[in-house]
Amino acid sequence: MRGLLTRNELLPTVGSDRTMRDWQKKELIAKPKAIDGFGKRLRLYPEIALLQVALVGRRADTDRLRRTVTKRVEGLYGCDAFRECSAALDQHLKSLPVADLQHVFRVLIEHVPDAADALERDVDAVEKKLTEECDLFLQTRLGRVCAEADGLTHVRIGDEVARFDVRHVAGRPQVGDSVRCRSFSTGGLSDRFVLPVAFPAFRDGWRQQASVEVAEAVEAVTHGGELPEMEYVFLYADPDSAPAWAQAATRQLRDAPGQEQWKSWLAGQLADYADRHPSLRVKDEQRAASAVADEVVVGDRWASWQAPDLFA
Amino acid sequence: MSVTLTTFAKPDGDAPPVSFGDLMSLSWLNELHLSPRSERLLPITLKGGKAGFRPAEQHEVADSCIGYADERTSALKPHAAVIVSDECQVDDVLRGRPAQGDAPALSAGGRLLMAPLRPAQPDEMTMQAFRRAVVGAAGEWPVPDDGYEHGGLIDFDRSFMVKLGENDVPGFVSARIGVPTDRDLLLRRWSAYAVRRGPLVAEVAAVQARELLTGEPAGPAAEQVFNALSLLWAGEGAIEDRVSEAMEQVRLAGEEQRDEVRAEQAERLRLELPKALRAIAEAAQAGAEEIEAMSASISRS
Repeated sequence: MRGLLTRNELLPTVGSDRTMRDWQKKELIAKPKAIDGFGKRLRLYPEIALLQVALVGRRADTDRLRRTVTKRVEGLYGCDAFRECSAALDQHLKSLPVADLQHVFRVLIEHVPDAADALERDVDAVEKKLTEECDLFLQTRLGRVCAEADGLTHVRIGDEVARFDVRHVAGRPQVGDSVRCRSFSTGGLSDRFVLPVAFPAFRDGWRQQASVEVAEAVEAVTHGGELPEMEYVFLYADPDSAPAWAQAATRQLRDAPGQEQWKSWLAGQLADYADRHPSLRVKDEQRAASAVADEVVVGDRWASWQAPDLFA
Repeated sequence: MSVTLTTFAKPDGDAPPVSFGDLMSLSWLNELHLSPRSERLLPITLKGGKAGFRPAEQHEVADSCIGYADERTSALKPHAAVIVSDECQVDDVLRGRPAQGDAPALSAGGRLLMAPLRPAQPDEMTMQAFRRAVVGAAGEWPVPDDGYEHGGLIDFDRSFMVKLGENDVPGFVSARIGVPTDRDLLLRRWSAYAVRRGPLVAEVAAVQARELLTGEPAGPAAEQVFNALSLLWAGEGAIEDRVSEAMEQVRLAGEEQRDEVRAEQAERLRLELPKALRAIAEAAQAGAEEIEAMSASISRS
């Protein structure tokens, strides 16, 4: 799930409240869509606002790009999916303990899942248009925060560890958190940002849930690496056995980097799976109890017997 | 009772070409065994480079589940399998066949029969379990984890075929992860399972025959009966192979040497075949006498 940022998430990339207000006044970044209710105010930005941040202070020839991005961002505010999501958040703002992505997405997925999906598609469409119109390269890679040192956030992306300063880290994820690393580049300009990952594992429907869990398994197993070539991935066709995704995914990922770490993770997953299926244990016990020793009627003569050379 | 078992060793540079009994790594095998209710997802790239999955259409599913009961845990799912097609078949499929006389050359490719090697639970790898697997019709053949990572149970009951195109052969051959330490032993066990022939079946028959004829509930096999039945199994394979090999020599010979080779091979068969058949007959005679002796001792008592 992606497409939105709260002000809390975007603020570190800008620097300060004052700077943000200044940039908004100069129309360097889009104004947020504000939702008020029950004494709280939620200010939402389309994720593409990060690109605007990246473009601030760049050369004059990015003006056209900036104008195009702003136009597209405002277009997103006006789309049906965004309006529906805003209305849902407006209605359920009180249930948000903190205005961060996890909670925003929880509300959206629980109350307007179709609109949330549609918004994601709309954001994708905008990105595609920007790529076509402005020769803008956009890339997303999964990663995991592995350390914070020297004022930098270290993110493991596949085999490499990338370092981001505070300005490039949205939402301040903690060590161990999954993150998405977004890259923007066009012409000679490029920038990268770290965004928190919100997996809507509570999404209704076991099928979607299993799909999400497979994605999480991939992410966890590869420690934020890119999705490796997976020859086969299976989804169980009933909700009870959905957790078996881990078995398939991890088997296929046994050659992935970080094997030692995910072996213990897999052991935990399998133990959980067995705990959730006590019938398995009962069947195992029954099978063991019924394993009456067969009467041994044969020795090992058959194994040591040597045929003579018939043709000699 | 001691039980002699086959294990696998890592193939090294001196290992013979891939053949019967070799252990092959099949990365997709575990998934095929997951559950009859599982549904394959195909990885796709969504817009913006995002990774995703979609359910496979029926025609995209390579194979259906081979049939492990779904209550088994993944720890028992195999990811390697042993080739149980006979050596000639393996040769044809993996190496093709050169042109022989008028017969054109055959390219590599075809179907091979495989038996999955599944990891075993600890209680399945006890000596008692080994005995049951050896003597019963369990269709499973234990392979101890003898210092090498590939122990478990070869599951003959769930043998399956893989279809290899000519282009698949190099990848398949390079997937060999084990060679049996005792190929002949594995052959005997497979023979007992697949065709109910060979020394293992012969020993069971000889033990039971002795028990029936002498009334002794437990005892060694009737030696000569066992020997005769085993020799029959070994002989019928070896004799046919020898004849086939002779014919091959004639076919491969050039037009000019063909008559000479034919005469040479015929002479060889004329000497060897009677010897082999007589050896089998003598063993059969000894077995018959043993049975008659046992019957006579029962009559006297």
